[in-house]
Amino acid sequence: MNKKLLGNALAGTSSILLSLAMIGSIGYSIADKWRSSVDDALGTTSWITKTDDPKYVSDYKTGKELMDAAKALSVREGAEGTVIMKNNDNVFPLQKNKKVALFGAASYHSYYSKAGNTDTVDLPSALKKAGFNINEDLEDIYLNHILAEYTETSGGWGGPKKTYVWDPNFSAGDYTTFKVNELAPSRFTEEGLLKNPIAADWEDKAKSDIAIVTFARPGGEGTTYKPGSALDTNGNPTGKNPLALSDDELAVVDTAKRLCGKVVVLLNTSCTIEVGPLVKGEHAVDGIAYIGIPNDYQFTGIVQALDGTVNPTGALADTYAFDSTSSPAMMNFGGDYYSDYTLVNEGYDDPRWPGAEIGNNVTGSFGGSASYSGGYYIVEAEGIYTGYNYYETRYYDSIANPTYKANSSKGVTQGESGWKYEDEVAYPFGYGLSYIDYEQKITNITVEDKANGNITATIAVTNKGDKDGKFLASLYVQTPYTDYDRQYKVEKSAIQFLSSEKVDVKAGQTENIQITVPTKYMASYDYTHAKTYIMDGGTYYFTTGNGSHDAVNNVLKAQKKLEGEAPMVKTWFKSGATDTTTYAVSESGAKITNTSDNIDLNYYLPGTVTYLSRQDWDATYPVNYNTVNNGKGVSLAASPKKDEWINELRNNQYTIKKDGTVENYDGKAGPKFNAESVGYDQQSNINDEYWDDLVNAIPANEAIGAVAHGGSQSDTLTNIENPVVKQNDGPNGFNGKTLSTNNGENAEEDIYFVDPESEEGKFKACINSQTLLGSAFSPKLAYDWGRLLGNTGLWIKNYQIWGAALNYHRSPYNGRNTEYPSEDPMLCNILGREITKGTREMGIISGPKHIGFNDQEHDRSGICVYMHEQKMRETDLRGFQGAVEEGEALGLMVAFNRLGAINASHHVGFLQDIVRHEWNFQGLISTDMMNNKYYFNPESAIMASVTQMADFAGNNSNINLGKDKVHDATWGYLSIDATKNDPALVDAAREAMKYQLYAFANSAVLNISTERVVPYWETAIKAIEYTTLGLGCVTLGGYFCVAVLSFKKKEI
Amino acid sequence: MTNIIKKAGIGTYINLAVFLLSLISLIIYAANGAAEGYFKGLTDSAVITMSVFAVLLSAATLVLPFITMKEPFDKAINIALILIKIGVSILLVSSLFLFISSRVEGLAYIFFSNEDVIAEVQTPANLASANTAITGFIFYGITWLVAMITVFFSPLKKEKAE
Repeated sequence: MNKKLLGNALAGTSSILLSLAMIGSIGYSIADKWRSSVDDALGTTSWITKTDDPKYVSDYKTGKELMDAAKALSVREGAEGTVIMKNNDNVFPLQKNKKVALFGAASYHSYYSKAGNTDTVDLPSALKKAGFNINEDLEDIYLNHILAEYTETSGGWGGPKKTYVWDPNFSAGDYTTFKVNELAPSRFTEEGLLKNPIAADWEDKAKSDIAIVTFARPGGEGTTYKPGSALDTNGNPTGKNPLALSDDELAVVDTAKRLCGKVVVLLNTSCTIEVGPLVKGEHAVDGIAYIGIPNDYQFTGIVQALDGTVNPTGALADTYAFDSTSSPAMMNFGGDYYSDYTLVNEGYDDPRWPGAEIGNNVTGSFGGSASYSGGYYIVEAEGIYTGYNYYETRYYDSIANPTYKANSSKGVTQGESGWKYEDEVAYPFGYGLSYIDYEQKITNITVEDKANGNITATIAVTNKGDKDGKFLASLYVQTPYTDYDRQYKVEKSAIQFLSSEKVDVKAGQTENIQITVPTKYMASYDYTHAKTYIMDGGTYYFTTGNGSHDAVNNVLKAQKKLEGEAPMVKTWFKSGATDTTTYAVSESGAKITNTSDNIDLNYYLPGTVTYLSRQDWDATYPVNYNTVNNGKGVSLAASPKKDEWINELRNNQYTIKKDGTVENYDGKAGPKFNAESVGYDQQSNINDEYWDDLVNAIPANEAIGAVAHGGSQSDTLTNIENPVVKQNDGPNGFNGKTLSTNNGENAEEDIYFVDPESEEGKFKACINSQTLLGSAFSPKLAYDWGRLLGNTGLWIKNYQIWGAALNYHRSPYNGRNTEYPSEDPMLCNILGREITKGTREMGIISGPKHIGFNDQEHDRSGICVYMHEQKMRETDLRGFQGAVEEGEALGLMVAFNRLGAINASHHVGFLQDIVRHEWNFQGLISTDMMNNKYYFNPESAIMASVTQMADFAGNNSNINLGKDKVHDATWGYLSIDATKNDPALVDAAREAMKYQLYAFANSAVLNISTERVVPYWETAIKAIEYTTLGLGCVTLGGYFCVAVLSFKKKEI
Repeated sequence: MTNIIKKAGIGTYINLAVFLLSLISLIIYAANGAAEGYFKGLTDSAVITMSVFAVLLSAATLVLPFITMKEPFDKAINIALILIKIGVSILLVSSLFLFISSRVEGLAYIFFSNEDVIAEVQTPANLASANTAITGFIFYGITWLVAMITVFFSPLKKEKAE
């Protein structure tokens, strides 16, 4: 054959074969993507279920191993979470050869989030165990004289209770007065004050080298501080804020200063105490440290940080302002009634409860009288400017943007002149001192500018000291604030915390660490114009620093607006104008747009609210919208949407339809919920037809009832053989559960059996401290806690927990800040993500709570919280977004309050559009405590995709089944007759069951593992791919041979 | 020009067809992602990149045969030409299958949805979008077939001076 023709033939054949190989390769990737469909079509399988090989197995072989790990984690949390705020003359680390005196009742009776183990470590015992020489005379004075006075009551929650006369006040109360119950030293010897009098020469005995003074401010569920409500020890108002140090507390400081060479103060709180007097002036002390709210063992770690056993790496999770009410959020806090709130109930006979007298008053944190509970409201007019986002942005503008009037007198709490950062802020967010000098510097930054992209920063951490140590590296960014933003009211913080990591570095060495965070968190929500996330063109400044203030100063230096070098700043430039498309689609592919215009008070009363904007701090600084209209507050009647508004306040978001037909109301028996039916396809794909077949088997009345009475546990349902799954609380672990809880009957067959009489059998592993986890700034620690929480679930055989409380601290006055990590939603975000990852890896459904602005406890069960959608998405919701999108949470608990006028658990825009659709959340959603049937109603919750209402009902999936059958006393109107003509409601209820069961299928509830096998079609495709590739290469080689031979011949 | 036409063999005309067809295919793909309708915004940068390379390389196959060089460069150009043509066919088939994989779900949605939603789905814009996609598949497919065929043919009527 002609060589040329042969060459062409070989080349052509090669072309065909290599094309076929490429088809095989791409075809395989397509088939792999649609694997389950291909399997269905061909009758093959790619996964087999291994019921005898549980997927989730504990990391620990014995209960004792788990107990030891839990205790070690608590100690680590104390060590990593302790924040050294002030350290004059190196008073820290505390020297063990010095005599230490403990002042303040909280040094002995600290405020804890106690697990309740018998070997709890308090501050004195931790110090003693570490080798400190404690002044035992002073200890005796406090323990056996001052704190010996108590009354004991029996019964109630938690059994017998001691009420101490001179204990720190351990209840913040429900927006009421707060007694600062510190006994001033001048009264120690007051005649008749103490049953066991203190000797007159006590001061001589109290003299020591170092004084540790501890001050506590409590918190907890149902508590909210009230500004200006402080009482002295006699119960008289002082006019001070409850978070300010009282005169008696300052007297303790003064006495300590007089009797001891050095004085340090420990802050035992989650609500930022006003530390100004300790920073400068006559009461100033040598050192201040934040110790959060410890659990049973954290004090051991706290002392390790105080004495230098470890290098302190904690940082403040909240800004410490000189005045705790100085943030604009405090302009609208607590709430009050609409001027005409009774329009909601008066003269209205609710068809759901004919003849019932229903009020519209505040019902209290734990329920109360019959009420729609929609009388109160607040307007979060501060927008995104909470915490450091306010203080640092205003500071930045005071230097960089004089026209923004940041120096206005609005919001000034210190002095008479204009606003000055240094007057207002004592210690910034993210601030914490290290004993070892170190430097953190960004060496590289990459930004993937796409919806599912990441920012990756490489940070070089250099230990400049002569000791090895652990160090904190934090990443901040400033995004551009542009004309577009100013025109369309898109607000930008001058500095944003993105993430942080810790690293061990040997003395004199440098370690490089990488911090990765999704790029989408740099986007801003434009609720007025693009109505989606936007990202401005311009220069983005990334920096490290010791806290937000250091970071913003670095940016100012890089921009030449402050003198000095800023080598730790790296920039990234986004070209073009404002990008309104890239971040307008979620990672799941959902279009992102406004969902919640009705949470803005301006929706009902146009033009009423002016939201804080940095472009004019003076003109937009919030007013109190509860005192507008001459102090009466806003009026429902004044709204052009009055009827809609009132209907929402009656909690009537969905009305059951009467004109449809449900074809399968009673359910049609199909597959069961068990390991035989659930395999890889069902675990990985909620749209697998199995799920529809499964939930369509559930009688509709049971599906509705299972949501309505979904608290405490799931319900057994007809036809599907699903298990009961118990729910547990809370953020610190499985409350009250010992490791021997739920031991199997037969120890031989129970791999998680723990001897109930052993130390570990009595051990309660709810040992987390959310506050110290927050100030630890460590995603790794959060992950380890999540994993430990998951292990605990396996050992006690409880697979669902409402953990990882992630609400941000809108203000220091929310008593429940005890459960939440930080004022910064992004810190909540990354910690929540890691906790969720850890628990999920162990098969435990950890549901973060309480998503949706549960940012005060006062009237939490009904208060209307108004805001714009940028705030909604970039503050509280952002705190949870990481747990859902990155952590792949399988549970969520919704906030108690309303979003706008609508119960957050009924808000379709929030739950369906954002959480389910944008975030692609496929797990279970619970309401908070269902304490008021007039506030919560099942049909509205079901239509918003809630899967269970927390009514503590036990195994109860009933609705009203009619006369002589089961009568549901809570929602009597909810009957078979009432629901049998509403297919949308029935479908949504079954969908709710699907989400619930899907979560169980992906957890230790089912605990099955699956194994990948290769079906014949996969083998065939691969064979074609490799064969054609091989033959294509051979023919191509043949062509080369022919071509080269012909070439060489011609050369000859 | 006359000289080129005289020298051009059937391979050159097939190469020209590949060039034109690949350009049309690329335009259809880009239009499908840009026009109103179901597939608006669904433009894969990998498909665009591969298609652009296919167009540029097929253009090169039109030029390279007419470059006369001394041996051994002339022979090297011939080998490069073959490799380019094989590469074009692989780029085109890759583009085709990526195009199909990104559209198949949408097409199923548009043409095979349940009756209760099909009226809502089959809007004029969505149908136009679907038809454009199918047209694109056809053009990419034909272009690929022609691209494979062209490898069998020499671009010139007879060997250049050896």
